[in-house]
Amino acid sequence: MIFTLLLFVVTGLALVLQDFIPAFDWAYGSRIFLVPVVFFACSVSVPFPVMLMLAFATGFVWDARNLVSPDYAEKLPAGVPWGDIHFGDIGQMAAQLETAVPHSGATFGFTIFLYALLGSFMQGIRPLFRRGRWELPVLMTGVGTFLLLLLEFLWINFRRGGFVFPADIWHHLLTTALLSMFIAPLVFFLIDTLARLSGYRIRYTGLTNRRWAPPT
Amino acid sequence: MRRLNLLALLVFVVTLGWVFTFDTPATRGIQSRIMALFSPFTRAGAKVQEKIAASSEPTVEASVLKAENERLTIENERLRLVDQQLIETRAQLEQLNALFKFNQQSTYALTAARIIVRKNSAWFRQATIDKGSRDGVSSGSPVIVPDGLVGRVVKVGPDVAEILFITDELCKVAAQIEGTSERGILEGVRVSTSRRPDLRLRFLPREIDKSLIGRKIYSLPDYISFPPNILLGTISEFRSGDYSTEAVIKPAVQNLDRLEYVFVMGLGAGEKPSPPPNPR
Repeated sequence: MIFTLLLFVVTGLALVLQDFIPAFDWAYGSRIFLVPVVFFACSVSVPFPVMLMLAFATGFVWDARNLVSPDYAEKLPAGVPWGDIHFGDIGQMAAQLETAVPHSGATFGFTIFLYALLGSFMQGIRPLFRRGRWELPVLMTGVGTFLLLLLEFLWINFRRGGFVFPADIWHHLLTTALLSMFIAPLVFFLIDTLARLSGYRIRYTGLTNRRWAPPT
Repeated sequence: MRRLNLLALLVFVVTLGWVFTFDTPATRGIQSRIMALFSPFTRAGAKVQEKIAASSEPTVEASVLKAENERLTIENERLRLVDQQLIETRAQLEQLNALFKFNQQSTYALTAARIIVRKNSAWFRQATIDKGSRDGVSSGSPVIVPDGLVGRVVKVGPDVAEILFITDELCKVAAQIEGTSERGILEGVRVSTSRRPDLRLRFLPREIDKSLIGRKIYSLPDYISFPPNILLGTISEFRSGDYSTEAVIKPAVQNLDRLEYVFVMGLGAGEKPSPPPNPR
C-alpha cells in the first residue's frame, strides 16, 4: 500500500518535472520523456489492477495538461455568418475557416488507453525485473516510449486528416526513445529502492499462464 | 487470467468509456482544474529554474549596471513623453471619428506576461505564461510582441494560462498580403523538428503574382477573432497546387523559442468589434 502511494507520488513529481526538461536541438528537437519512463518502470513492479490505476491517473493528467482543445470560435459575437460561405470568395472563406473550431486531433482519454495497452506489455516482463534483470525492462521502456509517441501521432494524423509523415519524424521518435532509455536505469533503481524501503516484494501475478511463473 | 484482474480490466474499460464521452466544455473544465492544481508546482519549478540560470550567468560589474540603468531611465522618460502625445492624438482622432460617424476601432487592454514553461508535449507547440483568469486573460485572446503575433491563449487557469504558438497547425489566422487583396489562411505545420519552423499561407489563388515574394503578411482588416493589421510574417516562397497556391512564410517573430515576455490582448465583450459583413 505504501509502495503504491509512493509510486503515485513519483509519477506526480515526474509530471511536474517533465515541463522543465529541455528539448535538444542536436537530437532533432527530442527530449527525455520522463513520465512514460516512470510509468513503464512502475508498471513492471506492481500487480495488474494497480498498473491500470496508474495508467488511468497518468494518462488522465497527461491529457488534461497537454491536450489542446480549442474553443475560441465558440466565443464569437452573435451574427457571424456560420457556414454561409460564398463560393469563390476566398477572403470570406478564410475568415470563416478561422472561426471554425479547429480539431486538435487528439482525444481526451486516448493516452489512458495507450498507457494501459503498453503497461500490459510491460507486465509480461515482471519476472525478469523481480530477478534483478534490468536489461529487457530498460529496452522495453525505450520501445514503449517509441510506440506511445508513434501511436499518438498516427491517431492525430487520422483525426485531422491529410496524412503527414516526414522522414524527420522517425529520427525524432528514435532519439526520444533512446534518450528516455538512457535515464530508465536510474528510474528503475529508484523504484527498486522505494520497494526495498517500503518493504514491498515484487511478485509475479501477470497475465500469462501460471505454470510459466517463477516460484514465489 | 485471475478473477481480480478481469474485474479490474472491466472497471477500467467502463471508466475509460465514460472519459471518452466528455465533450469540449467538460474537458476544458477538467483541464482548468488540473492546471490550477499544478500551477503552484509549475510556478515554484520556474522560480528554481530561474535561480539556477541566474547563478550560472556571469556577474556584471556595478558600474556597467549603473550605466545601463541610466540609459533605461532616459529611454523610459522619452517613451512616457511619446505615450502622452499618443494619448492626446487618440483623443483627437476619437473626436473626429465621432464627428464623421466613422466606425471606431476599439483599443485593447494588454497584459504583460512572462513565459515560465515551454510545454513538452510532442505534438503541440505550447508555453505556459504566469498570468491567468485573475489577471483578465481569457481563452482565445491573441498573444503578441512588438515584432508581431506570437499565438493565442488556449487554456486558462486562475494564475497561469497556456498559449499555442502561431507555428502550431491548430493556430489558424485569416491573413492578407500587404498591398494586395490576396487573402488566405495562415497556419503552422503539423510536425517539424526545427525549433523555428516556417508557416504556410493557404488557399491563395492559383495564378498569384510570384513577384510578391518578400511582401509582408498581416491579419485581415475585417477580422473576426484577431485584431487587424498585426504583422504575421514575410513571404519567402510560393508553391503551386492543383487548385490553389500556398505561400511559405517566415514568421515575424523569429525567436519564438527564446521569448521571455509576451502581451496578451484583452478580448472582452466591450472590446470586440463587429464581425465582417456578409458578402451577400
